[in-house]
Amino acid sequence: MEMTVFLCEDTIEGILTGVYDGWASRKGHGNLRLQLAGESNLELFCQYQTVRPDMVKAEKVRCAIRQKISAEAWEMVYTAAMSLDPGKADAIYRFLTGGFHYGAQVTRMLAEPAVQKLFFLSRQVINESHHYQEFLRFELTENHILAARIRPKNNITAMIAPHFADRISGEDFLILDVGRSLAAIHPANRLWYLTRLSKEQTDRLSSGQPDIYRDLWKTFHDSIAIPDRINPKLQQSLMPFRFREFMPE
Amino acid sequence: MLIRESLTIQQKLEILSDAAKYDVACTSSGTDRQGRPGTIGNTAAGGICHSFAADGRCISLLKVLLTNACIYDCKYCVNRASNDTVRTYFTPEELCSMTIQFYRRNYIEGLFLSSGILQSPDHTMELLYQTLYLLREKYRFWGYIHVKAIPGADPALIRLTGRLADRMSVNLELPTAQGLKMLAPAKTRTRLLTPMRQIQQGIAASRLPTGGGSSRQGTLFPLSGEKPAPISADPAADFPASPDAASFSDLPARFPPADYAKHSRFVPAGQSTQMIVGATPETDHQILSVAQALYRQFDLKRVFYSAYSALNEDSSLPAPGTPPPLLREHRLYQADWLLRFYGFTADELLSEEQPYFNLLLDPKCHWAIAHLEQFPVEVSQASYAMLLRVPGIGVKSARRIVAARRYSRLDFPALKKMGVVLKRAGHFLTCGGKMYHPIRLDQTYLANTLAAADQNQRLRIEGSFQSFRQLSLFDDFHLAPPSGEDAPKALFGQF
Ligand code: SF4
Repeated sequence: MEMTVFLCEDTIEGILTGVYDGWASRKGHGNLRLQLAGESNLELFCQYQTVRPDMVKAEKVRCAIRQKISAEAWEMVYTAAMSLDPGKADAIYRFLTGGFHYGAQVTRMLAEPAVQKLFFLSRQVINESHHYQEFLRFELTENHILAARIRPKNNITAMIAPHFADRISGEDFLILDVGRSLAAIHPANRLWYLTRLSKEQTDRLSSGQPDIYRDLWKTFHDSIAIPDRINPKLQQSLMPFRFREFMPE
Repeated sequence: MLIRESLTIQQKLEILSDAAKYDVACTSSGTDRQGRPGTIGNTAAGGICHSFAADGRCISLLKVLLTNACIYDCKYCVNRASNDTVRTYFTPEELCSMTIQFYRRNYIEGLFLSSGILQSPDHTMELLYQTLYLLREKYRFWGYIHVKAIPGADPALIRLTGRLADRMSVNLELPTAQGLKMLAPAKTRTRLLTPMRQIQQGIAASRLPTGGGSSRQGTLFPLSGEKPAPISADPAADFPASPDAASFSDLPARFPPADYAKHSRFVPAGQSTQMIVGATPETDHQILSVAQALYRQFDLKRVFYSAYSALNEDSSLPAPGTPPPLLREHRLYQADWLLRFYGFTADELLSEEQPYFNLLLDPKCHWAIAHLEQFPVEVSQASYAMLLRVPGIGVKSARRIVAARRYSRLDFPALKKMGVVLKRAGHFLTCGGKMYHPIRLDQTYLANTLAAADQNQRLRIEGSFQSFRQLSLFDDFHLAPPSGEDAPKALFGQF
């Protein structure tokens, strides 16, 4: 039978709708594949079908995962969907075929390639979001907003925003993914939301205000190191350069 | 001792963080506290590390001294009274605004506050308490605070402070009583262990289920007989001029029970301590046995080890310029891990006859090679406890193995995906009866292979080739360190 490729939008709704449509097509798991729209060239002997993101379908799949598999499985699917890996949509589909068959135990079946793959993607995303909880830095802008710029590989802005919303709930802050022009906006004491920013809006954020506390931090950072232990290689391996683009130290 | 008043905050920070840096503890772990409206800060159970200093150590907290002035003269310490250095202090307000401003920018998880002894232990402890009180009450800071308990301070002060801190620590510094006597005559074992015991009991008591916040508060605020009054004077105002050393009995009047304390327990993240490695002749076996006793008898959360940086001139200390024993420190941390999470005891790892760790091998490999009769173990059958003893298998991978082997036969590639380091584990495991390396288990061969595999890590720790010159100490397994010429070759081969 000819292979059918479902082209999904690169969002959680897009991918979950792809899962729904793929499943509902009853073509058999071996005869279909999920692919992100815009990825790679078209192949011969394949039939392409574009998936229109649909909140209702996506929500159905989300509920099914939580109820028929587990909350942990949903966590894995969600985080994997934030990955930069172009094969993530199909990886999620493969994982779910196992998941709906075996139920909650699937997340422990680490010898299965489909489970391994999703586990790997999810772990990469979670690790990167941990790194940004550590290395993200807020700058005080002219209008007293705390603004952080990041350039993550995976799409993690929405994953780290709740952490900051909890700890500095009384602050106006925003976290901007510079590469994706995606920002989490948090007005003081209110709920945060995700939005896209225009070029002028993002430009206005990099103001370069003088800040005494940034200078104090650099002083502290320098003087806390023990001279006869200086080890730049160790420092670099623990705090790779790609995180340092927006760090003052 | 002259205390300089006319310094900028920048200069003070430089001096007081510089003076704090030999305290190695910088973790922010142990409490999981959500944020609350109207406050700033939360804490994460695993702790969060925000940066790495040029020496590769993690920076999680603003680690500073309240003052580097000290009436004592502990020989190993940079702040000892006999050293000719500039002395200064932070006011509690300065400390608070720095903590808050750093925290908002996501530089830190909170504050790690220590201090030299100003006038008396009581006076110093009271100043620490004032600072924490201000930070929790006026600044509404709910992030992480690690504070020192000053040995010799009144238990009432330690009790009050513990209600505002996440973690407290008393540094043991030297593992044996002789060591202390030699280098810190003002500190005795008992003087150090008394506050440790008090904190341990305080933690245990505040974990007990109680009828509600009020009764718990009663036991922990034994001084709060009088009616609480609002904070009248700015606490910063009477610093550093001393209130009469014994006047803390009026504390409850000046500091009504903190709002924060109603929501928190006593030292919820537990207590820790630190031992200096290499200032005195204690062996690894002695140090590790003391650590084990502290974990068992004092319920410590963490014991930290600090490779001694030889800064002070003294006949009873290593000569200035002696490099700190970093690799030795690293082996102690690895062994400490084995005590806490892998079910090992100090006497299994070391003995009177073999009192030092092998610097070329991590302690787990070292143990496994000395106990080859227990290997190889079969992945599908070995108990969880035994899996934990296999070099190259960590707690997480052991758990994953136990979970996954119920559903399918595991092979080596699958183990690798679960985080098992086959370079090491491969020598000690079989999968369905098969070895990863089809070779016999031979002590000398294994010791050499595993030491070579460990080389990159050693280099990372020491940061230079210098290590190879020091590694001539032990040859338990007929190991010889690479000779001067071979060393660089072997290293470049790995890059
Ligand atoms: S009491 Fe503390 S600060 Fe003072 S000399 Fe001893 S170790 Fe240093």
